[in-house]
Amino acid sequence: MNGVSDWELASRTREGDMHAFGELVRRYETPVVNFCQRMLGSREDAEDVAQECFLRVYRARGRLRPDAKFSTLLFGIARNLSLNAIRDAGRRRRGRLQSLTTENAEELAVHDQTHRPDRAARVHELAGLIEQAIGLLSPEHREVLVLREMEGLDYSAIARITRCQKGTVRSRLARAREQLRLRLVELGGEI
Amino acid sequence: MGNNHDAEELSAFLDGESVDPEAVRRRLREEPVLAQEHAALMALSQHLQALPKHEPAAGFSARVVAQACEERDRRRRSWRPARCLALGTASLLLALAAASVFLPRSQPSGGDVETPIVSALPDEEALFKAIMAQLDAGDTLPTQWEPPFGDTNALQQEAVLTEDELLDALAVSDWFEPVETAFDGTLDLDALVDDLDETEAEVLTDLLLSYTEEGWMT
Repeated sequence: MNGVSDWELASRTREGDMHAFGELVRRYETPVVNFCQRMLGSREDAEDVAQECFLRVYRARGRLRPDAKFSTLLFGIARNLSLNAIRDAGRRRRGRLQSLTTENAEELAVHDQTHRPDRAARVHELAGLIEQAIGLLSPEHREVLVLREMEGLDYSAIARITRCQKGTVRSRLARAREQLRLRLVELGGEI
Repeated sequence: MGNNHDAEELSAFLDGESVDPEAVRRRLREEPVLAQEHAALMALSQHLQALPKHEPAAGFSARVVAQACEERDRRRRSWRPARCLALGTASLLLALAAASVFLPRSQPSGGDVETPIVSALPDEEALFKAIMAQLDAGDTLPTQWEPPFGDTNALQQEAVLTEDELLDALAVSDWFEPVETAFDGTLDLDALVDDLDETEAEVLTDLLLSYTEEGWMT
């Protein structure tokens, strides 16, 4: 079904074509799972939320209107479900994320210094630290950063997904980058 | 960089969203500290974009489609008994109405009065309400629009509910108080159904499904 637009597939899904729905899922499974995993920090939770996201689209197939990009609608649902999951898991998740305390960060920094890794290993380690640092951001900073940097969405699309003004997206992104750099420094991974 | 305005400008410039990119370029040429900051942000962005994608597990899409099929089939199954009950009740009411025409009855003084069979039949709306009462639900919901009942009524076959009409109907009904819209204006039906008791949820789901499947609702 290459060349068939997302909304055409959505229309076919509405008419009962499950192959079209399957194609929609395949097109977006990686970006949606990727977004959810960055938001939630857990592969299992991410797949659960991503699955629910696609099922919501399926259940609403008769009421979907092509007044925006399909991906915007999809990320909007994924974002809402992810925030719900974060709220639901509140204390447990906060506890897990806060396990990366300053003490842990110092341990990581010491580890870095003693191993004197080569460039490839250092890049790999830095990637791991960046992943950790993303997990330490607030959800509102994390979502704009992931949508912009990983999914390549523009400010208008991000504003629509996060239901805020473009100006808010702009300031949140700047703040998110600043916070990410601070977290990286704490973890010993300054760029 | 201690200036929030500069931080926002650089960040937006990096994303191609600056309102005055030429001014930012000029400052980058003239201000080494700002240029250094810009380089650091670019490096961070490159690292972020180089992070590996989290791929879904093998068979993810197949599982989602299978789950969707299962839900669709389950709803269809739960819809059929309600429809059978409705049609059964309709048949009973039609039979009673027909009987009321053809069975002997006491005549009013002053001669014979011929009752056209069509006027003896319950009108479609009354019939529909009666059926919904049998289903122990419906209070105000089925009366908010032309009841899509009976292939014999051409007008009702033409009745097509829009989403707005449906939402209006739901919004004025005490029965469906927790009407919520979500996700760019689409109705979060599942969240709505979660707040209803089992009977209400079944009837609502069946109604919406039947309306959608029969093409009465867009």
